[in-house]
Amino acid sequence: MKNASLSVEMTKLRQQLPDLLGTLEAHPDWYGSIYVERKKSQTHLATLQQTQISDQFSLGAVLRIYDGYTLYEHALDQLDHTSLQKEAQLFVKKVKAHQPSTTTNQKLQKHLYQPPTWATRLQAQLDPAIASQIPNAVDAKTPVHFGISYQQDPFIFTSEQRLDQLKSILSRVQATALTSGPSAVELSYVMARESLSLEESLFIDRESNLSQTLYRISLTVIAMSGSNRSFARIGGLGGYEAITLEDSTLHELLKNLHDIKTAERLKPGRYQVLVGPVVAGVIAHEAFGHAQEGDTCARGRSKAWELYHTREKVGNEHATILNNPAVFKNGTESCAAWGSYFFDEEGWLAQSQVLLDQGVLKAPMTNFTSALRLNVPRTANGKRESWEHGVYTRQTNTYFSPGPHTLEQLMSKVQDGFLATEPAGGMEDPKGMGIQVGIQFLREIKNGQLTGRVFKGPAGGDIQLTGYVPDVLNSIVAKSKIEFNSTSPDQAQHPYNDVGGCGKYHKEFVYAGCGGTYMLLNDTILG
Amino acid sequence: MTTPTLFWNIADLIHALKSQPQVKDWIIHHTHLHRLERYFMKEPSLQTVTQDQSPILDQDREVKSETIELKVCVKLDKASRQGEMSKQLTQHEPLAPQLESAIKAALKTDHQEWNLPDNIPHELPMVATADPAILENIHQTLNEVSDRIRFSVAQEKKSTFNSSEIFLVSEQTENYLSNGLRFRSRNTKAYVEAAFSYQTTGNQPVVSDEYLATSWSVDLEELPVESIFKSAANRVREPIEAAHIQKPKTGTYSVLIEKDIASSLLNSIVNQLNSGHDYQHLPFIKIGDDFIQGAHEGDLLTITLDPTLEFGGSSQAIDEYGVIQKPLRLVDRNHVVGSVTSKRFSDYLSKPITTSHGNVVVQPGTRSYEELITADDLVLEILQFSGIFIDGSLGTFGSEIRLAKLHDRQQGGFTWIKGGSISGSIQENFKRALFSKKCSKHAYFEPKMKPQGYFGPEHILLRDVSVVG
Repeated sequence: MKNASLSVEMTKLRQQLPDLLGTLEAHPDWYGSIYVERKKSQTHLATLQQTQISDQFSLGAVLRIYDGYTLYEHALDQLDHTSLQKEAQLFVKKVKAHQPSTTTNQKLQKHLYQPPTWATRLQAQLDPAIASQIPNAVDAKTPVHFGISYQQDPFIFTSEQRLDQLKSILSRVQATALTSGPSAVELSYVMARESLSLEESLFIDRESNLSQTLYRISLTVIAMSGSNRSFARIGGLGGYEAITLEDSTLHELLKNLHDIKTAERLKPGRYQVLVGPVVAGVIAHEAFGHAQEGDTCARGRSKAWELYHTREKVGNEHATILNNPAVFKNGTESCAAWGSYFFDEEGWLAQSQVLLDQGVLKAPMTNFTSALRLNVPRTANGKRESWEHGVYTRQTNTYFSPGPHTLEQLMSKVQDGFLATEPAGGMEDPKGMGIQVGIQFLREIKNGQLTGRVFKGPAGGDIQLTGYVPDVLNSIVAKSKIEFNSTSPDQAQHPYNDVGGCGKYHKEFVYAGCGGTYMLLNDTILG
Repeated sequence: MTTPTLFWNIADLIHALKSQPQVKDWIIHHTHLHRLERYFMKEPSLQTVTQDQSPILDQDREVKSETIELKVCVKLDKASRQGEMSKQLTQHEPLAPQLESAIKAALKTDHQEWNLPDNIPHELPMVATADPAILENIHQTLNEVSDRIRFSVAQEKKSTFNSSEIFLVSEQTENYLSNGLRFRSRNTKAYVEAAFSYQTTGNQPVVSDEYLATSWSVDLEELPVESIFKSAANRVREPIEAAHIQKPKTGTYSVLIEKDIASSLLNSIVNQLNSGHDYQHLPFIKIGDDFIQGAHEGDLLTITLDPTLEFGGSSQAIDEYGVIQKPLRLVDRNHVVGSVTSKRFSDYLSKPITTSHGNVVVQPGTRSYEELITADDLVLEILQFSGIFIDGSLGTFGSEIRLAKLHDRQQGGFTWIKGGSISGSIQENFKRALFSKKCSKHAYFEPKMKPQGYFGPEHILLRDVSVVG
């Protein structure tokens, strides 16, 4: 395994940035920092009619000043030394002009901030993938670089090779279709898409000088027959090994498509449902999850903040949810999970965090300002859609803790219910604690066996799993192991997290992993 | 003119493209973006309404960015085929290697051939796509809107202000096409959100809730800051004060939706009138077919795609191929009479070019709001969904109900509803739909999606919608 290095361009840029801190911290109470992001991504796509390539490039910096009351940010893409100095000076002038008056000062609560030293940082329990890349005798001036590890360099393949690979996937889909149900002529649309991006970031403040390089790669295959659609998506952070497409995955894609075409319509009601790892991950993400995002708590918009203080139980003993940006081995795979990184976009090192412990809420995830305003420990959850967007408290990889059972054991507990493995989005109400998890289709289980019947929603679309979050979390009956087909103890440290994304307040989109294990729920509202 | 920090400029790029023999066509978009954001919140230590609800400024952001996007088409050795690729270029690195890699990659792709129009428009229609106040004085405009937010918060004495965000965006794009056309487009966007909460006091068990109201628009006049705040403050308080909120009973209902949901549903289904879908064998409703199968009662849909709507979310004078955009009637009393066909798909399918972008404009009905809520025995009026998910291929949709009113024609009045979910189908639920006579505009911008614009009935009554309680 190798670790990705920092590019020449970012290394050069890094050298000029520490000088700016003196300009930004123009007042003794001010905390200044600089964040730089460079992303180069390439998408290759093949359909039955054409092949396509697109390249995206983005490079920008965010200058930040926190004056004890407000976080000011100035984001720009003119990154030569002269422009940066000039913009930093104008920025400082603007912040000075915005300082609250003495009268207002008396009403406002000032939260001053001192960044942690490396001595403090190193007291935390850090994942070996992070700790091993921190030099000995590190201090405020030491440039510390974290690189994602990989086996097969994903950048060595040419566009021609990538497109050939995608075209061969289309051929495999068409060939597999002949043996899997729908005949090839019934496939109306097939698409294979590979996305690869090189993501680099720098974070510099008076106590740290951090950089990281991530390789993000994914493969999506979509097959349609008329209006019905089935898709498979794999990926992670690491090398080309993250998108090895097995024949079994294509068989499952086509079987799902065939079954969806002949699906019956579900009668809405309460059912026993065995959810797969990704659907379980969406439940975790939407439950606690969003209500445990510190900025939502700080804005008075989350019930979880009240319940954290009252310690009222919101789930049973199976309800343990974690958020973890340090998943560098995704389940049994060697690549990192989709929502992982070494430090967040405000320079906080990644660490696992328990959000809900056997039904009892813990302190929320935070970004910089929400940690200060709530007076809770900071966590590595300050994320942006890009350097052009603001930072919010965002989830990384969110999942339920594993249980002791195999999948077979869980299936045997289902007398009359459904299996739900394919998610279709989700939404939450953090104050009212409503939850909504979309499921593409359900497979009927009776007496522990799949019956072969498949169901779509009452109107022929996705099924919605809805309810009151505590009711859902109290209805968990059992959970599987991470390695759910094996009776041996789990070797993997973390459950598998699928490739996904999250939109906040309907506008800010970030990458996120959703995962977990199989989970059996009783008395669940489906409709 | 280059600065010492930039390696090249647009003129250099055009010159380089012209000198490449394999290059057939190109389209360049050079965009300058300026964006301001403010996030307000109450001091977290203040849990309830106080005499002074002055919001504190949590974050203040400014963004300036410049992007250059190149679409390049190249000649291939195959008849009627071409290669093409899209690439974002940076002026902070030399041009030659970037262009070389773009052309090399384009040569590896394979598309049916299409051509830019031979005729170049000499004059562009005037379409209002940018608010002058945002475009020319964005800082002052932000301060004015911020004052309106502070004032709106101060007016509220019963519900607790939680948070608010304001975004203002100004974008100017220079477009250069290889057929010689050059034009400028200007766009503005504004966003405001307001979140309020309310909690009962006294000896009763505490009931608390919150409501988030959001609004996008192109211009400030369509951004009713004060009424957004009032709406959020009232909608969180009134159900709790009514002291009786329930979940709906499972069943089939007539459901009244507002313009935001109407816009999402209709913008989604209108995609099935796009010739691109026809070419790619995606779900496509062709000219001559019924738009809603079997619709014969109620108000029949008449839809125009209108890119000229003043400050519409999807208004533009000219598309990326250099074709002037004009209103296009797509559906006439439920019969499909038009297809959305860009230059590309016009060449692919040998169909006439029509408009490729626009706001979904729907002819209104004849009923008032009061007539709609009493059109059936029970009408479930949706005030807010948690988040509607729409499957554009199947035309199905679903969402949890965040807040609604269940109107009962027999008993009079309504019950507050919270929770439960709906599961719908555009084809099924629009069959006997009724539209309000009052129309209003709606704009919506979501990351990585095309802008959405709507002008049509403020309310639409859908029939036979499945609701789970």
